[in-house]
Amino acid sequence: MNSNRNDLTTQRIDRILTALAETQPAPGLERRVERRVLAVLDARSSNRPLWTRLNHRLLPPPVALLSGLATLAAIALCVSLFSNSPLRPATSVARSPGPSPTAFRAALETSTANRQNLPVTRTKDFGSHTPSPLSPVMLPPVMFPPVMHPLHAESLSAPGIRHPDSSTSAAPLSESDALALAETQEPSHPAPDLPLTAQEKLLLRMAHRHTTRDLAAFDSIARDEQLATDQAQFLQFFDLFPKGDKNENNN
Amino acid sequence: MIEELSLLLPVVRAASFQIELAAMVESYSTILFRVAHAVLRNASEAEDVVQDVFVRVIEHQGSLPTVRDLRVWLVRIAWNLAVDRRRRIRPDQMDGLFAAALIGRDVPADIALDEARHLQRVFAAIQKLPSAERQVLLLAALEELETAEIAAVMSKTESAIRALLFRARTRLRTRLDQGGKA
Repeated sequence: MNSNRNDLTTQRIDRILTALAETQPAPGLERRVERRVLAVLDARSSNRPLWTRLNHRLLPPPVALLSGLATLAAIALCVSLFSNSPLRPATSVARSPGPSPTAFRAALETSTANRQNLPVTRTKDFGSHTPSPLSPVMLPPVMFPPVMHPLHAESLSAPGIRHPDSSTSAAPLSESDALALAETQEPSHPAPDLPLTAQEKLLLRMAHRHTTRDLAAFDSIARDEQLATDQAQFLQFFDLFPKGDKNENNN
Repeated sequence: MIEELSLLLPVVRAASFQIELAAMVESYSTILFRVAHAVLRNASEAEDVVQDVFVRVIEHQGSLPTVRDLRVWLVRIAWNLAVDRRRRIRPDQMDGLFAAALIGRDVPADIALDEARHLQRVFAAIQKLPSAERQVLLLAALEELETAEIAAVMSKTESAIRALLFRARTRLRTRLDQGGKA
């Protein structure tokens, strides 16, 4: 009787704990949380750029959050591309326009479409991160003004050709510009040999570690030959001097 | 160039925080809801707690880089907020509603009423457990947190967590069998 009661109690406890574990939030929890988060962010950032505020007024909050993120990512991408471009002058970042509203809108549409296509899946294993809808967002193609090659620039600025947009491009090149252009057009020379690396130097030392005398010590025949050669050289050296010179040297 | 980049830095930093935040909302909303619901046993209240958790994250975004385990940190915030909220509301009524929702509709009314009463007693017994035992019992019931994570949430060792869990279940069963006298 008691064991039955214990079993029943255990069953009830397990039932409740299982029910707590399997509780599902109402659909759209993430969207509601995002809305609240956006409201808080809006309240906190009163000095936000105009385009962001405008965007938040025009679009639903979750879309606006994603759009803001996509735009900022695009700005970061632009900065990195500009900083890596060797042909672009240093002042081009200041002059270059930010992401255009068209590209911005395209990012919005892409992110919204991705979110709509994303199936709502709930996994019980939260140890692995569930895929964020932000991750598959494709950034819009950022359109940069075409980088003008010096040759192209020269052809446009030649006196015979008139460019419809630029009246100043027809002006002749100054001496320094012409020199720079000529240097740019010169064929490149092969690079000089690089110095040996530390590893290559070590390899060389390993390969040429012993002198011929050291190497000969390992082989008896070669050693005898080497000794004979040394003795012959020694005798030959002292035979070169006359005997009087030797006495003077000794004195 | 460096000046221009330094001007952009706060924007990029804010963007990265917002990206992190959006990913957090997507990844952790459900588990935070369950943690809050385990305490409150009410869906709308638990949802409010989840929202409050992310508001707290915004308020403490400066300390985010120092957080070792984000999940543990968020669960701890959710637990504390839910416990605070439970003090302000009338939880018994919610327990009754939740217990009634657990019983199938095809059960006869008298049996359903009796079973709901029993389940409500279980909830009451859980609430009367020592706070550490109650917390371990409910967090372990979610089956989404490892023992090590529960230990990190409660700032205890894993062996202490196992001992607390064993004691909680034993105490709960004993109290229910003896009619709440143990």
